Amino acid sequence: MKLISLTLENFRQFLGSNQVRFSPEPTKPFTICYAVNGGGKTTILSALDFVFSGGDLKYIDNPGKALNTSYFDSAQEGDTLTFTITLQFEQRGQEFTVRRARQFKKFENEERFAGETLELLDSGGNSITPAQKNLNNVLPPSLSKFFFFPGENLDSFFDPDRLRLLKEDVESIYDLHIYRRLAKLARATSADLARRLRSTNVGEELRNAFEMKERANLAIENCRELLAQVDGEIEKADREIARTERILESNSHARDAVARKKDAERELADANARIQGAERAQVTLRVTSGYGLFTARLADVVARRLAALKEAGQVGGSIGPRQIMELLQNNSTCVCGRHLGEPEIAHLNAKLDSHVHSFGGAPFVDLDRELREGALNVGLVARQFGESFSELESALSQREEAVIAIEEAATVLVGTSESELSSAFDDFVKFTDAKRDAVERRNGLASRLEEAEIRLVEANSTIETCRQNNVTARVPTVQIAYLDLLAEELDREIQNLEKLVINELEEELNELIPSFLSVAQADVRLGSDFAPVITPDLGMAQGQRQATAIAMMIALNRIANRRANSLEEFNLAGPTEFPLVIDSAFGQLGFEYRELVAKQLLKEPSQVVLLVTDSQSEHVVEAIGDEHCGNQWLLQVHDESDGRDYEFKLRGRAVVGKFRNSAPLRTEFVEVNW
Amino acid sequence: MDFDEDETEIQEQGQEPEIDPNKMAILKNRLFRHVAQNLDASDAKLTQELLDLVRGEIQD
Repeated sequence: MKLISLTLENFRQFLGSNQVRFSPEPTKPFTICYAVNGGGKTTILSALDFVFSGGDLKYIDNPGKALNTSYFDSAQEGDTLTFTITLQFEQRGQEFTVRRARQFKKFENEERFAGETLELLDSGGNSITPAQKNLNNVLPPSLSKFFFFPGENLDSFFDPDRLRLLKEDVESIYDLHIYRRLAKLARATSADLARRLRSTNVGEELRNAFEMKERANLAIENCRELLAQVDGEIEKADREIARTERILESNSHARDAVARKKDAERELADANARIQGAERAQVTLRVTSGYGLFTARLADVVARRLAALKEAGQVGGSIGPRQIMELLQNNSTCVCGRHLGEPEIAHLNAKLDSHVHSFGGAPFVDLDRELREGALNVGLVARQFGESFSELESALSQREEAVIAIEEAATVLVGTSESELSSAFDDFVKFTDAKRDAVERRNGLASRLEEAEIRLVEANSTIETCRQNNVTARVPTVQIAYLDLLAEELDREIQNLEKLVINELEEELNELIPSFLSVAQADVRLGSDFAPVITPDLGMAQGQRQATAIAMMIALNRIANRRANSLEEFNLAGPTEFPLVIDSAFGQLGFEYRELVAKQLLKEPSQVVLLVTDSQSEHVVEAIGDEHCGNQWLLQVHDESDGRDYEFKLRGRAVVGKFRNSAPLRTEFVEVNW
Repeated sequence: MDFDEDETEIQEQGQEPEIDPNKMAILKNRLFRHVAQNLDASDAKLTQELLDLVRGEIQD
């Protein structure tokens, strides 16, 4: 790529449209722009970067003041103001024009961003779109910083922070940042896949399914074993039932008699038990009824006496049967025999009299209740007596009927083997019961077996599903393997590229440094932090350090050029050499280094634009030689107000300009021809 | 019981899948270009996109 011309319109120091043309001739690759400090050298560098990349204005102080001051001051509040940068360049024999303009509104005497336009045109004026994407192909943003070098602060070039940023920039030429990001992402993606795979938990589910299957199989086995036993029991019962039935059938006349006799014998046993119970109940009831009658009588006597006492106005306190019994305790005959004769009543009355006197209250409620309960008890006992007599009567009747039935059956059974029949009958009943029980158990076992078989089917189905999932799971497993291997490969490539970056830069520096520092031989090694170590130790005085910094710029430019030409995406560009633009790098160099560096620049194959101050010009340009300089420009400074005259010497000639330390300044390009 | 311990180990132990160098090269190129063109995207977004690309490229 070759720069043809740059037009700056209302940008920074440049009022209206100002154009500088660059030397396109391979035999005269140098373009020199001379300017005083503040004259616009760095503005040119910033404009070149901006026209390609857009974004923030780089390299200049106060980038928020992009518009030319005079242009801005002459505008009204609310006016739309624009600066435009236009670059013509040649790429593989074809000319292109890129024009980037930024609009502002003047608002409260400030520039307010209002928009930006970008055009990329071919030599016929046809627009190439998308403009930025095509421009990025012409000059990738990661590379542009290795063609446009600010050199005003060479002393800090090797500061650790600057070197760290420089290293990142250089590594980005080799796409190391992409390799590193991809390696990190490959690992993250692999981990993500593995996490998802684990979360499907196929192994655990399969293990559970196998356990379920095992339990179901055990249950089935157990059920079948028990069923076989039960079937054996049923079979045996069936055999016994058949046997006893045969015996009973062959004595069919006696079969019913045996059955009846068995029933009657059970009835007899039951009747005897009932009789025994009824008799025991009657004994108890006799005792209970005696106590009940006694209680009722006693309550009646007490009630009468208390009523009499009440009438006499002497009643008080509360009294119940227990207290009455306590009152009677001295009379053993009365209590033990439940007898209530005249002497006992007299005794009771005397006791009641004294007791009532000692209380003072109304005992009638309690006495009435006791009276009623005594009467109820008597009624209840009487009813129970009646019931027990009925029960006894019924039981005796049952016993009588049973005895008759037994006798009748015995009559029928005369002449038969009663014991055999009885045994057969007992066995028949026993095995019939046993069969019923076995059949019930069999039904239960059959249900359990059915459930176990269902569980087995479920387990087998789960196992099959899990197996299929396992097959599915193989896919992510393979994907994980690819990603892991990719990460490993990338790690190796990153290591190799890191070495390559250092090696290539060292190689370039080793070629440049001896001539820059005017030594026969020097071995330059870069640390991992990019700091150069030169052997033999040259002491690295200020001038040497600055010369080494410029050597680094040229080395980086060469590497960036090589890298740019190796990229496939450079369709618009194709193989080419990018220009080297260096701003203000020479002012700080000693005179001897200026000459050495300038001579080295002559050997560079690319177009070179040097932005120099008057004081830098002397040795540099003379070392290069006017014959190699296609175009030389003076950035003529004008003061728009009342700045003082500024006269300086440029390569021995007096140049007069206006100079003031503060804006407004106006600069225009004036071509000079020495 | 036909419980096979190895059967549940497929995911945990993993079998040694065969890596096809051609597939690997294609995958790498694809992922590299995608990351290069989406450097501003977040890691989370890129991880998901890479996952989709890997699934697209690598089938068992």
